[in-house]
Amino acid sequence: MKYISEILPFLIPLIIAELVLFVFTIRHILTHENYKCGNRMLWIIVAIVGMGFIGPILYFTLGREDA
Amino acid sequence: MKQISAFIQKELLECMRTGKCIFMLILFVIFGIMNPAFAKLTPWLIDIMSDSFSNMGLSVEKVTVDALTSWMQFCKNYPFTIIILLLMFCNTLSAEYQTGTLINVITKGMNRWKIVLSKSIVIFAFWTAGYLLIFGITYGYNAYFWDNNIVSCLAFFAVCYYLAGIWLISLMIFMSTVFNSNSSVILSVGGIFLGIYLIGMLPKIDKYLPWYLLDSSKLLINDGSISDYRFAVVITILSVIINIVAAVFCFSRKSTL
Repeated sequence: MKYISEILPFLIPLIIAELVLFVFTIRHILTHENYKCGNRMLWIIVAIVGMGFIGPILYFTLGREDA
Repeated sequence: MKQISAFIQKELLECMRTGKCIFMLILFVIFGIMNPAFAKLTPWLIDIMSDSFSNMGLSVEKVTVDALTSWMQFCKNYPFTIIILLLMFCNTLSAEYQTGTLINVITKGMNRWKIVLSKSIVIFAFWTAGYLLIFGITYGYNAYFWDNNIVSCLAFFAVCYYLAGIWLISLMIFMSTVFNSNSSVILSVGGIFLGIYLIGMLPKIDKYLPWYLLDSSKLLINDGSISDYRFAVVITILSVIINIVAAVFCFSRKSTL
């Protein structure tokens, strides 16, 4: 219990930031029709499996269309 | 000046609308929080692993973490930050070549050097803001949990890492004016960085290369002095200026836009 209260100061902002990033990524995938490669289903799965920051990074660097 | 500020506004608007801006902001915050988080969690992780270690015949002693552990984690996370930034912005010119959007702007009388300059300013501004955010968050948490005074030359270390990022970005801008596709830009930047890393293995030359700036983490543990890095700092600043001038030169002679 002592440990948890010690890590709370960075655990809460980290979880909030990762959730915001996740929601932002899912919203971006759902509001865009075309991707550089792959399709909508693939990117949703990638974003969910790589939740945290790996999935969003993969989507924004490899999947997001430039235009 | 009016043209440059208008183009900078256009670039910023593009970053906002394509989601780059918010994505980078959240990511920099996450990276900033992760440095002290890893340091703080290290004893706990080792505690969990100690049973399996003892089965293997390894004994684990109590690990102490301090601000230095967190700053070392900052150094380890730094390459990911800069790689993601480069990947996000490597299409800054190539996307415009592919869609042909620059042709209209240039035929309306916009000078080509202003395009390169304003794009560079925007990417440098992103890097500055992101770096300050990561550094600030890490510094704040370190001050809260431990004590930042145990590390030496922190300000100089921060400037060195910042300059290394600026150098890589200027290289990317130069390469975007030479090549037309994203992959060639990233590959050429990676290739040049690898080349410089390999040259840096030669003992007498390494002090003069931009790569040497990333070695400044040694300063935190009082290994070496600031004056060891003076050549690398000067050469990096010169190299950034040369890269930007070369980018302007290449872009004004580019026939395929």
